[in-house]
Amino acid sequence: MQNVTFPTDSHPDATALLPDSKEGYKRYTITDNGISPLLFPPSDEVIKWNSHEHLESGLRTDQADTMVAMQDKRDRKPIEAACAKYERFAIYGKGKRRIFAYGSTALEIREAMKHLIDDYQLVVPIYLEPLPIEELLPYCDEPAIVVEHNSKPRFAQFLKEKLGLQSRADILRYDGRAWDPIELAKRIMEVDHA
Amino acid sequence: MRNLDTGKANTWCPACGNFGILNAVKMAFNQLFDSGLNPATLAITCGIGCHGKIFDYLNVSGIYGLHGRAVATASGIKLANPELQVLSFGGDGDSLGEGLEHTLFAAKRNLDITLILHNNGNYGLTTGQFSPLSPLGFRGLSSPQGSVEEPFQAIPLLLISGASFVARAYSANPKQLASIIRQGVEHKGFSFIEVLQPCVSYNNTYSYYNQHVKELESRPADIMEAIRIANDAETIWTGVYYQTEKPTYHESAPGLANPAMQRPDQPARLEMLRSLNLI
Repeated sequence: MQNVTFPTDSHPDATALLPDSKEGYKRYTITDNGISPLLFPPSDEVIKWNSHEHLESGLRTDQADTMVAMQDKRDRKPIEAACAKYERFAIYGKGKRRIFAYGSTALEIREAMKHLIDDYQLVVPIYLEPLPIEELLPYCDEPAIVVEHNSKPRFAQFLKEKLGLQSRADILRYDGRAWDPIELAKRIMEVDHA
Repeated sequence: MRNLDTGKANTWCPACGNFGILNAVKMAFNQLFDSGLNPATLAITCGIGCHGKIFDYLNVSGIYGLHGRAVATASGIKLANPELQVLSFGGDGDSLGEGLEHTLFAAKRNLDITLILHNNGNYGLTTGQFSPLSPLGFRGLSSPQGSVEEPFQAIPLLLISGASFVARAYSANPKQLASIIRQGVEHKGFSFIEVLQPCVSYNNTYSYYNQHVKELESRPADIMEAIRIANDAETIWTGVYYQTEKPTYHESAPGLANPAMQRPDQPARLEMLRSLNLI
């Protein structure tokens, strides 16, 4: 048994941890799914990690064909598929009027939503890269309010570029302070009842 | 017995001091294996520089890391896996420039690793710029009119920072170097070995060293005497300057969970927090 433990609910196919030392082991074995099996010392097999481009054995190389083969191997890793197992966005509420935000701003809006008269729905992307575009597009059919702690609507711009989302208002706050829930609720209501 | 060669084509300059270091390292490893060190527990780290190429010439597990981070990765390996014997190779630019803080903190904590410093007095791999150990007036590509900086004194610096085994050797005397490496690895605590390494391309000190290097006749009595002798203007003394036994970092921290070895599950973590009256 290897002398290292991973959380029991990890995905074994993604970690590719070898159960035991195997003869002829190479740290950067080229595989179909791009994942080279992991082994940790102590080990009779030599394990060479290399921050520079490398051969399968872990020795450093600058050979063009190896660089291409190794880059192709890394590109084959099923990153998108592995990320799909995680919650990559969150939805709060069922209203037709939508608000978009990220990070701690979402918590401020969830507080504010307790003081709103109308029905709102808060959409919170959690993974910005890779952005779960297919799952988010259904929420982008109407213009939304975008709330962010930036001096310019950068997050709104990001959503526009990635999802085609139109803003019906950008609520910006950039004085280094969090929103009071009632103040934020008032600002949101001003947008739709001005 | 482990075959220590990788068969990779060597790209050091002919007569580079690194060949002497490589030979000494292989001698030392074989001596250590003969006295019972299990090759499976040996790990090395390297930074970036001419010194770093030694990683490709040694059939030993390890990490060929980023510039200056040889000691950082070695520290991490030792903390996560204390049963490994960890040896770090660094350069004067790598470990006393970019990686200065890693080196000094490893010494301060008396981490049980060994640092072999390939001191060639310049940044060789990038064609000869002055480094933290280059002498005042060194002429290189970045200091064509002569460097205006005084060098660090490596041995005094590491002594004051808390290293518990400090030695100096010369790449042209691989037998002595092999013995010192063996002693450094066997020593429990942070071992610092400064190796004088002539650079035939940018800082050819063979002739100077051959005239001025001498082996210490006796060990200095204490740290202050060691510092004085290390700074001798006439003679460059080689040998073990200082050795002492004091608690190592990973042994001094009982009760702290080692996150690489033990991953307490949530009920156990909550119980730990309760026992500390934090919840």
